[in-house]
Amino acid sequence: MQTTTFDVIVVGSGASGGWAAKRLSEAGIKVALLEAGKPHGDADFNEHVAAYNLTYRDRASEWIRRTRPRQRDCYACREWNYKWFANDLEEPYTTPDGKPFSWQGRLRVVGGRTNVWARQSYRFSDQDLHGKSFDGHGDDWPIAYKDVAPYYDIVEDYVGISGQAENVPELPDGHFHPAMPMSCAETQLRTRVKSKLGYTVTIGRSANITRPINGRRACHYCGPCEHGCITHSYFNAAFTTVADALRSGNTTLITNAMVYRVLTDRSTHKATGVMYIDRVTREVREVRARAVLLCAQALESTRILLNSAEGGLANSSGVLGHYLMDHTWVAGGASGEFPDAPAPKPSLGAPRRPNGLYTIRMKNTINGPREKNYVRGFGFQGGGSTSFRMDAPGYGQAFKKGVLDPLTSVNLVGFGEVLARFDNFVEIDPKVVDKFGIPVLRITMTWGENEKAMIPDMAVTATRMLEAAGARNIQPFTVLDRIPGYGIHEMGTARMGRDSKTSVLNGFLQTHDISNLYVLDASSFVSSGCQNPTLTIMALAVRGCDHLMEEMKRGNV
Amino acid sequence: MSNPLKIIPAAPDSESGVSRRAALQTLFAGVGAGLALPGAAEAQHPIHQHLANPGAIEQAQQRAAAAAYTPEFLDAHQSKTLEVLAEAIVPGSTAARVAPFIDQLLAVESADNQRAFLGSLGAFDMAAITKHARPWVALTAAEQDELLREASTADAKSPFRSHFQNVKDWIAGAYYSSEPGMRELGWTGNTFFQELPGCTHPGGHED
Repeated sequence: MQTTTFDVIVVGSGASGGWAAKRLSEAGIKVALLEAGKPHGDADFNEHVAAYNLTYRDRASEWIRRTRPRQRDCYACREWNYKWFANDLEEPYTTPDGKPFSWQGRLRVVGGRTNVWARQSYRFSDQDLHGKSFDGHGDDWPIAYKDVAPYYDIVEDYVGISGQAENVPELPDGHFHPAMPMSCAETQLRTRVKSKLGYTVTIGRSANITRPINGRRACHYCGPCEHGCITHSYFNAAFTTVADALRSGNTTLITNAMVYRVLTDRSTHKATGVMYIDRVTREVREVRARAVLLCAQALESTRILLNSAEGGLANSSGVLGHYLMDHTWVAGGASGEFPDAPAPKPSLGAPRRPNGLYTIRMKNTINGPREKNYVRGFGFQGGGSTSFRMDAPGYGQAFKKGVLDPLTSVNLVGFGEVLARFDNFVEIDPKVVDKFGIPVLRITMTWGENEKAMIPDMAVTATRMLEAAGARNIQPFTVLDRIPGYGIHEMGTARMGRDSKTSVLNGFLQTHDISNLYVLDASSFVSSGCQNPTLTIMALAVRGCDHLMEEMKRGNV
Repeated sequence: MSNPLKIIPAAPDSESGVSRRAALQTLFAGVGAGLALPGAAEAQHPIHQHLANPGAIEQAQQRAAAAAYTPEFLDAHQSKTLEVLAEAIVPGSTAARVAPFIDQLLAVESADNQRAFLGSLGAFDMAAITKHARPWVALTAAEQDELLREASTADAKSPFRSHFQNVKDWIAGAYYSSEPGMRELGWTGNTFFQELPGCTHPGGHED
């Protein structure tokens, strides 16, 4: 067995792992960055390849499902990029009968999920971090907004978030690149909803830069960021944080490294390294270091901990694997048409905005009334478009003429907070292993009563907003039986807290039990907010790295 | 050059790897010269490498070389019926090779979707035989048009309307994802835009 020694091991090269490698290696620390997937870069991107140059023009979903039946559920897994995703047959997971969970977005390339993420980047507020103090449910995070704010600044300045300040306490403002423009219909929605309902509809805060930074060029509005970006205009760890880490000369990137377990020294109660299996050669290898940082994605990091010791490593609390959260997504909302709003004719030759609208949480607000049926809240994503009418009636030339008749509409789709509950959890399935011989996760998750009460209000609220904006043909929708996982925002399962008896990590994402073992991804989240989690994941990862470096200086690690 | 990935005919000695590489290099040079990039500084832009994707080029060449297409899934009668229907429902489908592409898709579809498509295609023959005692492809254009009008305006829940809609969705999807179809919707091959237009009206469209 080959063994190599570094200062710090970082497992995973996505949002948190990329930042960890960059932060540490630029400070002079020798980092081993382990990635379960393949090397990946500009040569793999194909965002400018027209559909008609693909074998199946992205229209053969069943063909992709032959190897990726679950990954294909993800809107971003397409013929252009499906090979970046894990093969579900080779890397399965299980669920109990009657409790399906869709674990999507499992990337197997450098940069991880940041290759295909939706790029929406929102800060959490104190109301999100201290929800229990606000409404009595769940637990507060052991940190406050003021603790994270400086790290949000660092991350935003580097990542580049286009957006607009709104001065709404439920969604703290940040450091923004110039906002992308709204269409007339969207502007009409924003203006009238604000004046009639008081809600704030803003342009999405998106990790697409609108001015050049760090050698990256401003967005050129081709549209499909999930296929890659040769101008590096969206944030992808592969060509930003990971590239910087490698440029420092202090990071060694080890690809195709499927980490099985964290290695420990029983006498010192310290982590000593990790054991991994080479995806290609199947050789079993070890890497040793002073500290281990798990950044493998919330469920993958917890899987590693559960596979590292009987009952799970760093699990004296017994809560490892528990309090799994997602967001309710595409569960409630509405769409409406704006036939009178000025709009250019639709064209496939026109620029495409890789971003939508965001409606800031408007229910159970800090100073507003409380809902009787549910706690917490939701935001709306979606946006406006002027599109072709592919459902035009008839046939022949009349149909083709009907296709060109523009349809301007706005969609509002709720993204709702999911409460942390002990009985939503992951565990190791003792009967199933992946193709590398590593035991897989068994995921148990259902929506609770709070989610079921909130979803219908998404449809009602979206309808009221569209009515206020003057939309026509408003179509509300509610889907109460949506499978958990479609939010693709897995959070929790190794939550942070002040009390080592009820949490796995402290406020710096250091495990209570093992001082040189950190978990820097969304598994640390205590509650989910209703905002997309990646910006917070990155800010907390940088904060955790700074803490680690202080601990190393003090000799504690 | 209007087509950023224009297909060049295979050289007579295209079995030779050297000839193939030479042909691809020629093609890439043409692609690079024809791109609508925003400025001279873009000459070294990675798009040149990006479009030099041997896999994509190879696939396109294979498709172009398959002018005499042999259906993978449909039989000869079904294939001809689909071709005739496609041209009537979305004019231009024959030139856009809609029927061969749908056949290619059906070959990798689920059994349920394959069954549903064949049922819908068969419904047109059934209607033709019921009314004219001839299969669809043997009807005159006027007879086909009369039945298409009937199918497209029947009650939304009627079987014939459902079959029409199913076949139409396949044809429209295939047509508008083809190069002629995409260009009809405005596709130019230009994927670099320096500005994104937005609302410029003062007042924000307040009531």
